[in-house]
Amino acid sequence: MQTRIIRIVTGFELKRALRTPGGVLFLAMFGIIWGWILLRLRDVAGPMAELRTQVGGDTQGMENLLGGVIGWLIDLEPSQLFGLIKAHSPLMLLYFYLGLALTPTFALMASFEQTSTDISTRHLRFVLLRADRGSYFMGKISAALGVYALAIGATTVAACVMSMMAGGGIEDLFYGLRIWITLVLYAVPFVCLSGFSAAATGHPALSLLLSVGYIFLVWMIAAAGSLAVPVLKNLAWLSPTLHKNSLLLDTFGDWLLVGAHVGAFTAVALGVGLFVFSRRDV
Amino acid sequence: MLELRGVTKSYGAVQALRGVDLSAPAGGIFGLVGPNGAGKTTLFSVLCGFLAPDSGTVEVDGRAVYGGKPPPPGTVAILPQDAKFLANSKVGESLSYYARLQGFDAKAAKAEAERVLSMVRLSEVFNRGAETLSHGMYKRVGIAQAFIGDPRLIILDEPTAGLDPQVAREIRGTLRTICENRTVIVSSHNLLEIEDLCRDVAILHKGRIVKQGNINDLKGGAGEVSFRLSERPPEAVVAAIQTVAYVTNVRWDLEAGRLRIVVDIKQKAADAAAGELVAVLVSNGLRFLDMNVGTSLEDRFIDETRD
Repeated sequence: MQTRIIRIVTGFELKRALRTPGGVLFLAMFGIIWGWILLRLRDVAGPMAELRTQVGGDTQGMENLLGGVIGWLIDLEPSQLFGLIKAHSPLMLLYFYLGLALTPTFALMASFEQTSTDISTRHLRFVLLRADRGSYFMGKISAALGVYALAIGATTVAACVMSMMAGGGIEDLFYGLRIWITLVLYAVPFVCLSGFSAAATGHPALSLLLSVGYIFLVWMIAAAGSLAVPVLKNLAWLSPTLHKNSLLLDTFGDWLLVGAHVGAFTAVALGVGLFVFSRRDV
Repeated sequence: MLELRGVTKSYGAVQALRGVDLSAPAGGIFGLVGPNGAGKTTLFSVLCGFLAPDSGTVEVDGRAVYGGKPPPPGTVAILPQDAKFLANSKVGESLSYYARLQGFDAKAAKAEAERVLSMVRLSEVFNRGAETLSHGMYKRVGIAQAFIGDPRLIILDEPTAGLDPQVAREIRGTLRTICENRTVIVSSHNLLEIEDLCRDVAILHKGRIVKQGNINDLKGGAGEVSFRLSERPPEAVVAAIQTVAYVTNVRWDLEAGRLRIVVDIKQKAADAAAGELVAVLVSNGLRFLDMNVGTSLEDRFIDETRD
């Protein structure tokens, strides 16, 4: 594998991203949905800031609220949530939570094309006498991740600005940086899954279908199937989404499990994707 | 320049290549012909390292090409038969990108893209999208990309397929100019084109090279003169030709629409006999559409690939 080739492919694909149908579709969907979310966040920025003041008062009512619907949704202990709201801007925290929830969808949308169009149009035949397959594959992954990183970076900056305008401080910027890095790293397994799907199917639409279908199927079997057969719940380990909300927490120990799980998923998806791409007929 | 020994490749139960032995010398244009499904594209895929052969060896410029791994960048380039350039990218951008992948820095890559476009006389399309080009321009850009970095071996898979005769002729002209002093392998179904361009040729049939060599040696039939006629010649004319002293055989080839006359070249050279035979035909009131001295590649091809 050659870093020179990875760098050239990444740069070229990043420049092209805005001109491809897949890139335009991703940016349009991302812009519409995150635009709407950010507008709603702006509307609630004031009340969210007050929430922090109330939590600072350590009220029992607030803890009950966090232990109810919100706790169930986020799958964290009320005390953990309580601590998070005390430590960070609630608006940024909500943005972080929504970012984690939407990253799988948008990361798959940003990355489904990768090598699939090259395979379906046989464009790879122009490329593969000039670049090795491994480096080309990695360049495509890196470019897709770059597109997502830029898009989510823009919304994170917007969230930081809103939080600061609603009375936050410079600490919101540092928290925003952590959120951005976390969301980008959390996108990696999905981008690698797309890399595998693109190489395996050789067709952009089928690639998206395979990746989304996989995540959805695992979730369905683990969630609905486990109602009848409890052991099926363990299938959720086959999806990188399982422990995502632990990434909201502030202690390194809480990130270890999710980091190992996401890392293992990434290694398998990347390895299988590279294997398939290096051996397929182009 | 290129040596293949015992190369086999199967797709499941289908044997695409059945022990191909091929040798293409350095310099000049080498033709590879074969009917549809003969294995030409598979052979090129193996040669370029897109596909790993099941067995056999491939050497390009004295270096082995290992299963499924392309030769070193800059050694071999290909104009694939049906590959498309990236949509939503300008021609110059794509060519500069290929040059960069091949090892050029950004500035040199742009200059190289301009150079190869000017070679095919298409400098003006540098800033145009590939999807806006005509079919002929598209092919010429495809040829241009194959010349980036002046590779040692250039493979052109059906460079004129699907083009109208005028554009095909233009491309042949371009190839004749730019392929000088380079080793180029051309595949085509147009055998006249192969005859026109190539010095050496190989015939691939059902995954095997059935004939290979210098095009004139391969065509053979040094003593044959043939005339294409619009209709079957009267028996009287055939009989009149048969009475010519050096003519050993006359036959009407219905399939090709040709009157084939075999001359005893010990008595008369075929070229000299051709002039006299024209006079015999004309004096008997027959008009011919064209004349060939020696067997055409098409005749040879049909003979070699007949089941």
